[in-house]
Amino acid sequence: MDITFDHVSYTYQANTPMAGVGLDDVSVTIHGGAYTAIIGHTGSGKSTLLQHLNALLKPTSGTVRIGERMITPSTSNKNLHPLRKKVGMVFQFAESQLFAATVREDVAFGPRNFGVSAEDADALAVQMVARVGLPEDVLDRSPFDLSGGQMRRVAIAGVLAMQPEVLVLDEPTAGLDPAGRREMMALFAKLHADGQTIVLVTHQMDDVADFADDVLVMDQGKVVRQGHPKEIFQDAQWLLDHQLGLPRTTQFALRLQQKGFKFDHLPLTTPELAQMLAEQLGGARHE
Amino acid sequence: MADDIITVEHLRYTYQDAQVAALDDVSLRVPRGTWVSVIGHNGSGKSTLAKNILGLLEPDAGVINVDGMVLSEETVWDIRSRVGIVFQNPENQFVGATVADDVAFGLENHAVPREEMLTRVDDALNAVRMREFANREPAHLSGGQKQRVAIAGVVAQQPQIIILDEATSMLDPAGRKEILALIRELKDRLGLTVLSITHDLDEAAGSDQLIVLDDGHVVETGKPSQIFAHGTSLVAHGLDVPYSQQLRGELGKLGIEIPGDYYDDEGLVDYLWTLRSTM
Ligand SMILES: Nc1ncnc2c1ncn2[C@@H]1O[C@H](COP(=O)(O)OP(=O)(O)OP(=O)(O)O)[C@@H](O)[C@H]1O
Ligand SMILES: Nc1ncnc2c1ncn2[C@@H]1O[C@H](COP(=O)(O)OP(=O)(O)OP(=O)(O)O)[C@@H](O)[C@H]1O
Ligand SMILES: [Mg+2]
Ligand SMILES: [Mg+2]
Repeated sequence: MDITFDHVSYTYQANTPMAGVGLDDVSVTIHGGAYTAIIGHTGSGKSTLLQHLNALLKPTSGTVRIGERMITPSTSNKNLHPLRKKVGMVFQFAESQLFAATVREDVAFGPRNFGVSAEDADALAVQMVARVGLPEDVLDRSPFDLSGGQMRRVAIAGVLAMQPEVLVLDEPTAGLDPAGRREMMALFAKLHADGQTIVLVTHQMDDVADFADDVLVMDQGKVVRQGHPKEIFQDAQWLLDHQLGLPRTTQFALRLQQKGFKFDHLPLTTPELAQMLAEQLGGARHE
Repeated sequence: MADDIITVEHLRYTYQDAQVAALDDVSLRVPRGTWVSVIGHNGSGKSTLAKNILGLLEPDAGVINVDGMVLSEETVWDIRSRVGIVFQNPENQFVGATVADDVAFGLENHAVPREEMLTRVDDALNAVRMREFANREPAHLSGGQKQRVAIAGVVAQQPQIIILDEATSMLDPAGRKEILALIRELKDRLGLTVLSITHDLDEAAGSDQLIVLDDGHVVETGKPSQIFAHGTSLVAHGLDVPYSQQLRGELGKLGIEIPGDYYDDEGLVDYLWTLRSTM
């Protein structure tokens, strides 16, 4: 299922003195089956764009086509139910999407709501809570009596339990510990390998380099670049000019370059850099 | 010791109805004028520790001392006036109707004259690049903008102790660097102390001291270079090693062994360049 934006603009609090630009004439396609990363500085419009993927926000002008469904400025809020099942979203402040008395009920709510039997929904909840790395004893605790990172994991479990066609993730690893972040990114990669469409907003350029096959760069409500991570990260200066960073490996390679090392292209991953260094430091072997 | 601005001795804290203590026999010291980072897996007790230091939670046992005062019902307000905290979720922090009101709120509690208050709020918003949003409702901001406003609160307050609970987790890479540099500049200029809870090991690597929590226990304390030197134990605590150590590991796999315990980025760049130059 592709999602296509056609000249979409979105204005917050339109027609008031407080009106502000969220999106500015965005035309872009997010392909079914792809792993799309969206990057951009603070306030550039990433979360605003994401909320158009399941019609939480509707364009002020332009259209969004989500599979067969067309969303226009006049689309009514009725009948969005099927769409919410297809497109599952983990919010930037994931705590705000928790609501039930127990973690078990919270995670089971999505599937229940979409017609799964109580028994099967509960089984899904148990399975998903384990998948996001939480111990079983949290199941019967209140989701509000958890640490920040634990709450985020519950929110992710809740969306996974809905088994959506498109998984939309707004900085899902912010607040996760380093091991949790690694495991969570591996889990998303596995889902993607099994055919899941993923849209990820992140400030972790390493994750973009390691996992995404398409990158959208946003600036002031516009999509200013789209491409494979390999292309996007070659233009280091352009990214820095847009307040963005580079993968750690690319940064490190740039420092080596300043010292005097020569690379024919900038590496994105640690093994890639290690290999390039080994060739240069192995000296005789290479020459 | 006279020069420790925070000491915690044998602190235990258990949440209501919880089976196990969230903090158990925690002892630590924060020397005045230093930057100390607290790292640890999700649920290890970092935020609970911060809330105990502020007197927002009441310990089952143990003694907390802040700036020469033992934390108690009598001293808690005095202590809170010396500590500024940025909570993990900025949405739980906002009280003002506008961004400017919100930043001013921390000052109203401290009897700062109105004139000075306005200047400080304006300066703080400018420092975090949020001045143009001064009249916006805090709820109507992007995630990173909310974090910037929360940080402006402590920048305006200029408390003796700044506690950051993952305060930069949603900032873009350039913004994160810039905000950390801003706090560091403030700390150095005014002689403040920073206690920073973070999952960013590169930020932690730049601090004077690291405290590692695991399941409510302090499992290691020391300089980052000491703690990062034995990386495998960090991984066992749900953490990771800094980038320079990861690259060393990859080079090792290819037969390039680098002697010594720990290099930061700059150290490793220098070492590799020397190695290349001597070939
Ligand atoms: N509810 C709102 N009302 C008014 N303006 C808003 C609202 N939410 C966001 N904005 C504004 O719209 C712009 C885009 O915000 P958005 O949340 O999409 O940014 P973002 O790229 O997700 O940023 P971040 O990385 O900080 O989360 C920002 O300038 C922001 O101030
Ligand atoms: N309000 C609460 N009621 C009961 N238990 C709680 C509450 N808040 C936290 N806990 C539990 O106390 C433990 C420590 O939580 P804390 O929030 O201090 O962790 P943390 O180290 O800050 O984690 P994170 O990195 O996820 O923010 C966790 O096991 C958590 O589930
Ligand atoms: Mg956002
Ligand atoms: Mg916490």
